[in-house]
Amino acid sequence: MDVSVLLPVRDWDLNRVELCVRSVKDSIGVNAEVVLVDWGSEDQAGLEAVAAKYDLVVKRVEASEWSRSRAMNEAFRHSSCDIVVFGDADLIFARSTLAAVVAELKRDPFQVILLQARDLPPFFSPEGLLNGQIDPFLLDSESAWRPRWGMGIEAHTRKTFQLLRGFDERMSLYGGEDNDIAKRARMNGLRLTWMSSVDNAIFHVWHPSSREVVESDSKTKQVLSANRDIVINDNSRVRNISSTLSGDPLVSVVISTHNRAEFLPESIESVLSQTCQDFELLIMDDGSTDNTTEVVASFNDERIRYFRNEPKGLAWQRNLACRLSKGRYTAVHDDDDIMLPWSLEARLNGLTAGVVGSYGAYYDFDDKTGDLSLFPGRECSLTNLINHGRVLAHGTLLVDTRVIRAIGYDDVFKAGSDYNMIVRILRSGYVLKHCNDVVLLRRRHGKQVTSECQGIQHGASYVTSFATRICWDGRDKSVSKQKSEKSPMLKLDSNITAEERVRAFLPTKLVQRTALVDLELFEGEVPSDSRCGYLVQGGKTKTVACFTEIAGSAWARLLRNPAVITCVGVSRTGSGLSKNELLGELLSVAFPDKSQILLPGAENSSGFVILLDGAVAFEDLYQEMGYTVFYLTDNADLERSLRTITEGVK
Amino acid sequence: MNLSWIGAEWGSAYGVKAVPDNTLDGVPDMDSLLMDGHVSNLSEEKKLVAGVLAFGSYISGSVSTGRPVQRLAANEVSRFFKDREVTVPEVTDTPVATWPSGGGRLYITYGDYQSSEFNQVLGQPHRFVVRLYDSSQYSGAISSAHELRLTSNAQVMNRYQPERFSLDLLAVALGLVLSEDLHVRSLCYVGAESSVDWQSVRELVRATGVTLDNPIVL
Repeated sequence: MDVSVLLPVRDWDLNRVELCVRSVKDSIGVNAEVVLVDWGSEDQAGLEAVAAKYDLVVKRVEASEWSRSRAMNEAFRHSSCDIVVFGDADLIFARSTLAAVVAELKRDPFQVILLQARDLPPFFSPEGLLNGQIDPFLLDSESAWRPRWGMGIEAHTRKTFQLLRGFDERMSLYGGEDNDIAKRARMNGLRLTWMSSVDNAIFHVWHPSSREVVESDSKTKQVLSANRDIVINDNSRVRNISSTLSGDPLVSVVISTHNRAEFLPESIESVLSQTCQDFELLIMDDGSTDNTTEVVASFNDERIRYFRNEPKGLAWQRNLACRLSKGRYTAVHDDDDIMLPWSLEARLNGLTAGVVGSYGAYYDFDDKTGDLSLFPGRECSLTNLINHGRVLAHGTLLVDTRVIRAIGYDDVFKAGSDYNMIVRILRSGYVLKHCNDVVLLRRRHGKQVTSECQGIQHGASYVTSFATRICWDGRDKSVSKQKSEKSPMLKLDSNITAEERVRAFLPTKLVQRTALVDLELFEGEVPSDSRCGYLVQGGKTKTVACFTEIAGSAWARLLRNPAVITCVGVSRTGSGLSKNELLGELLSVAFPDKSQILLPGAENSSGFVILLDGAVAFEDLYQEMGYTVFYLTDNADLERSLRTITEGVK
Repeated sequence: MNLSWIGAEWGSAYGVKAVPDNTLDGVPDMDSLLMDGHVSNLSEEKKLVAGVLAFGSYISGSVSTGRPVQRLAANEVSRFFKDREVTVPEVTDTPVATWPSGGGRLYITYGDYQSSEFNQVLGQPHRFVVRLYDSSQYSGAISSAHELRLTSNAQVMNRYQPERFSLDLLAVALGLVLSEDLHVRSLCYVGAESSVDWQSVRELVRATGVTLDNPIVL
């Protein structure tokens, strides 16, 4: 097969569907595969009958609402060809069109082809076209060009569509998804080719305008407005971070480690707790002699790839990791630091057109006291890097893996190779951008490389900036100074930098946590819970499924951690399960092994359980275990209790 | 695509920058072909052609330097894109004298390659060798009357996206940029064998008043 034509359908006129399928099958010069996705049609059998006539299999998705974006992505998953054409089932492809598209994309794969269709007049009924002979000359003479390119018809290579991660799945109904993906194609370096050849035509079979339906329904208008907002205002080049269209991970997180078994679990845990779960974690062991191997093995997560090597230095290990990694982007993470749960997502969102890497603000924390110091960072320019400190922390950088491969760490430096590489990245003309978020908790302790190898690090820094400045004349230097003096630390929104937002994610020995899980909210989008300063992550899911979401979330990991002092609040329910059952299930997810729960009275620990009104089944159990039990009758009670707990913790 | 001559923000590097239009051009992740040096003379035609050689795979629709170029160069640019329709919107028919008037030859290569071709021959047109070094490793430029050692980001561009940035074409682009200041009439790339369609590159470069010889394959 040369080309896959993807046709998602939801209760469409079957004559039009058949007309479209037949035109694809009648193509000359290519062998075309048709992928029919039934996105929740009521007349399932009718579509299957059409498919059977052409020996096709319908991929059925039980969907309650139409989303062309999600349906197209699903169709893509079922396709098999290196070239894919996205269309609608109200089109007729001229016999030579697909061959022309395939030839063009084979010749230059770094493009997206936008096809311009022509409208047929109403007197060409689907039934008439299906039952009679199609006269291409008549279609040609009677059709008029549609207003612009695209209108939903475009062709990609499989690789470039995977690179773009498909249509934006936040978009519902239809409208805007084609403009959005075209915009992102450009942002990712692909040129657009507007194909509007008369010879290679596509005809659009007339049907009543859907615009009238749209304009009469306020809910639909809102959806389209939200789609439009994404097209116009979302300039991020990476989308759909929670779903994947290819086997390779989106991000490779790289931890190089040497004898840090005591800190490593929290570092790994923080990576596994990311809101973006499409990653691999490469742990490069630089010849550790402690129990690092056992620590890594204890995680038993298939995304972790562990490489135990001879001690050759962190830079050497990082270079090796970049050769072994599969992710399009690389986030280098230090073995003693903690990634905030939204860290990868925030940095991915910071990647816009022409930006190959994104970094963020960070908090230093004292490993003994938990004291926090914020470092927002500066604009990442060469003048700032040469003239100022604290422009960016290497551990906050997420960058296109090819950049690291092209530049590489200088493994001669035992310390300071990170600063050296960032300077060389900028000298090469790449752009790195701040993502306007706090992404890292950086641990301050006595065994930091910056403490142990300060002299080496400073030396690396001096020679790196010398090698850059040596060719600057006096005027360049003064201009550079002037420019950097005008570039103070970045000012971030106080809600973003609030300590309360990040404190929950400090190491467990330094913090007490409170979770408020409002189950009812899991029926819709899960918002951030600012009352507790925590972000509860979930997705669009039914209440019953929420445990799965919780189980995969940062919260579940925190809750599971044996040293965590935990309060679990369940405020409302929305499923067929009783409140007791829900609470019980939640706690069983949080504490799969009861012995992991530390009892109050143990050093640095205490516990709280909030039970809902009438939820007395577990009361004895928790009291027996020494937990303080709060009884709630409404949300106000819940909030009061949380306040009491939080103040008590302080 | 708009192509312009820029100075990098830190001052000592200059080069050709590609600014995509907002409709059909792809946006390059590396949008500037940089070198640690500045030139005093660079015609619109040479700027245009150097930009096309470096960023051609991102161009769709039209390409311009923001100022009119000679019709010959504009036509050759359109012809160079055999597979797509690319136009140069700003064209002038005002005659311009051939310049420079020198007869020298510029050899351009990466690193320390040696060739007997580089040797000066008494009484023959002057031969000038430009050696390009990786700006992710080195800084600055050093020059004599016969040779220039120059750092550039060409190697990084190629390592980053070899399928988009050809070492050969990037070298020819930099040679073109330097050619006016050096008053050379012909360029010659010295490097490894490649799949570049030299015939079409030669036609394109010739439209700027400089000839491009067959590459010397090492």
